[in-house]
Formats: sequence, structure tokens, C-alpha cells
Amino acid sequence: MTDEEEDVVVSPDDDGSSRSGLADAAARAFDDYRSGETQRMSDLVEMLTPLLWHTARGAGAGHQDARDAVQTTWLRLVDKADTVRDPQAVLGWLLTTVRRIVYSRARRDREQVVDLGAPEHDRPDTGVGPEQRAELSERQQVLWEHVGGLDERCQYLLRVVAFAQRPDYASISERLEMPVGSIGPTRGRCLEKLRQMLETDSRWERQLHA
Amino acid sequence: MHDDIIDIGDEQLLDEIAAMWDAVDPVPPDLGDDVRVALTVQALEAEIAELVSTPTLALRADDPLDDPDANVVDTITFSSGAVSLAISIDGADDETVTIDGWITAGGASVELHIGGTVRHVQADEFGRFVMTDVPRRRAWFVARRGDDHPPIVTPVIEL
Repeated sequence: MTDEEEDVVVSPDDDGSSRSGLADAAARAFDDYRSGETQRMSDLVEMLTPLLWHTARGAGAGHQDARDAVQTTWLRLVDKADTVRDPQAVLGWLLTTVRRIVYSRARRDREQVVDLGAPEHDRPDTGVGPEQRAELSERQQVLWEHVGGLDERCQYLLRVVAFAQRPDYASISERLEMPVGSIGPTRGRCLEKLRQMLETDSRWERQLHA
Repeated sequence: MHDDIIDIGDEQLLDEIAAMWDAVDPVPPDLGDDVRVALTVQALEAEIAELVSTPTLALRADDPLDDPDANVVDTITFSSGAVSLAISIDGADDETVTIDGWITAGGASVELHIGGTVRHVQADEFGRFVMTDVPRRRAWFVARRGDDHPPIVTPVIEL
């Protein structure tokens, strides 16, 4: 669990998130669901499906595999809802589960490669090609270039964390870095590298938000 | 305290990263609904299991399905493009059923066409609706989501 516990006075917004983070909003929705408000599962699905989608895709799942992984993850959560002891653990559980499904599928696919002479794919085609990149603004194209210049772990870490909120950053980073073997990149170092690259690119202007 | 201090500039950058990924690899718009239908089907099956195993049914017969007095719950899901309609048919007695329905379009108007008559019900904001005292006959549903969408018609089923 996170070592950044703070005493925070939580005043939820309309969607229950924002200041308290996704993990807290998810815990509340899941708690309500278990208390009999069954429609709160729909809220949870709405709230977290984008994060799970990008977690699955960032882990290398193709489009259909990512859909399947996300759907299976939700089905499993509901199936074992009664056995979850701590609602605060739901977000972390969802992230771990969707990744495990993606990786286990990838392992099965690799094991089915019969032609031993075929080159091993070091990164499956996740379908982000020129057509998808054409959807980006000019500024986003610059960002895309430099994100692409980060190592894959940084790319993945930043992608997933980007779809969460500030209070979630620490716990999500821990989840993605498990199992802990070597000292991996932290989101801070990844962001620092990215900022350095952006700052030396004349096409990139720091936007100051009000 | 560790070295990962996130400042406001980092937060803004992460927001831009999210927007970038959202533009280049968006969540499929129907994924949430697909998930909800799947969850509903799973949930309804769970209710079926509970119904068959109630003590009252156990007293009546060894196999509830052989007992005409037993409650048997059927679940049927219809799908049409972006809309799914899941119904659970609960046999209240020999002659009538209760229909528990869920449609992936909150507020949709649902019609049950049965025996030459039409029963209307409005699904709530979550897409749920209930119809009670429905005669056990052949029937079909029409769902309407407003003028911008064509109505959806299901095949005929035997209640």
C-alpha cells in the first residue's frame, strides 16, 4: 500500500473523484454496490474503463484482446465482489488483473508460434499507425515524438498514470512496477526526462494554465 | 518522502499525455455498454441459481423443473447494434410472469406486444424496468430511444 497516507478532508465532486483520487472514488462506489446499490457498479465501470483500456493496450494487447481483457476483469470483480476485504484495494486489483490477463494471453500466443525460425516480436503491433497519429494536433505530434523517445517502461508508466489523478500516482506506480526486481524508473524520473527533451525542442512551448 | 515530487507542471504534462493517448488510441465507445450487458447477464444468472435452491422449492420436489409450481427464471438478451436488452422472466404462477428488464439506453420507452395489446413502460435512467402480471403468451418487445434512433424490435418469444 501507499506510504503517502494523508489526513484529507474529502468533499467529493459530482463524480466522486478529483480531490480524493480514483482509488477513493472507486472504493466508495464499490462499497455502495456491496451495500445493495447495484447501479453503482455501472458508475465504477464508467469511471475506470478508460484507465483499464490504456493499461491493457499499454501492456501490448491488440484491440480485441484489450476489449476482452477489460470485460473479463469486470466480470471477475463482480464474481468475487463478496470476497474483497478492502474497497480501497479495488483499483489496484483491477489494474493487476487486467495486466495479468493481457500477459497470460501474450504468453499463450507466443507458445503457439510453431515456426521456430520466425523472429520474435519484441513489441506486438498495437495498431497505432499513421492514421491514428493523424488525429493528433501539432503540439501532440511533438509530444508523441518525445514520449516515443522514452524507454518502454517509462512510456507505459506515464500512459497509465496519466489516466488517474494525483492522489493515485504513488499506488499506481507501485502496482505497475511489481514484481519489484530491480530499481525501475519512477514516474518522477520519467517525467523529468520527458520535460528535458521537450524543453530543448523549439516546437514545444510550455503552456501555462490559469 | 521520496524523490517523486509532482508539481503542477507535471500534472499539466500528464493531462496532455492523457489527451494524446485518447486521441490516438481512444477507448471504444461501446466498450462500457458491452461490459454492462455482460455484467447484467452474469448477475441475472446468479439470481437464477438462488431461486432454484430456495428451501420452499426443495420441499415441493426433488427437481424444481419437474414441479409445475416451481419458479423457473429464464434470461434472454437481445442485441441490436449499440443497444442491448436483457430480460429476466420470473414465473410468478401458472398464468402470469414478471419481467425484469435492462436496456442499455437509460430512459428508453419499452413496449411489450402481447395478445394483440401493447404495454408501455419507461426504463429508468439506468435502463431498468419491470412488468408484472404479464400473461404467459408469445410476445415481443419494441424499444424506442427517441426520434434520432430507429426503434428496435425483438424476435417473438414464448413467456
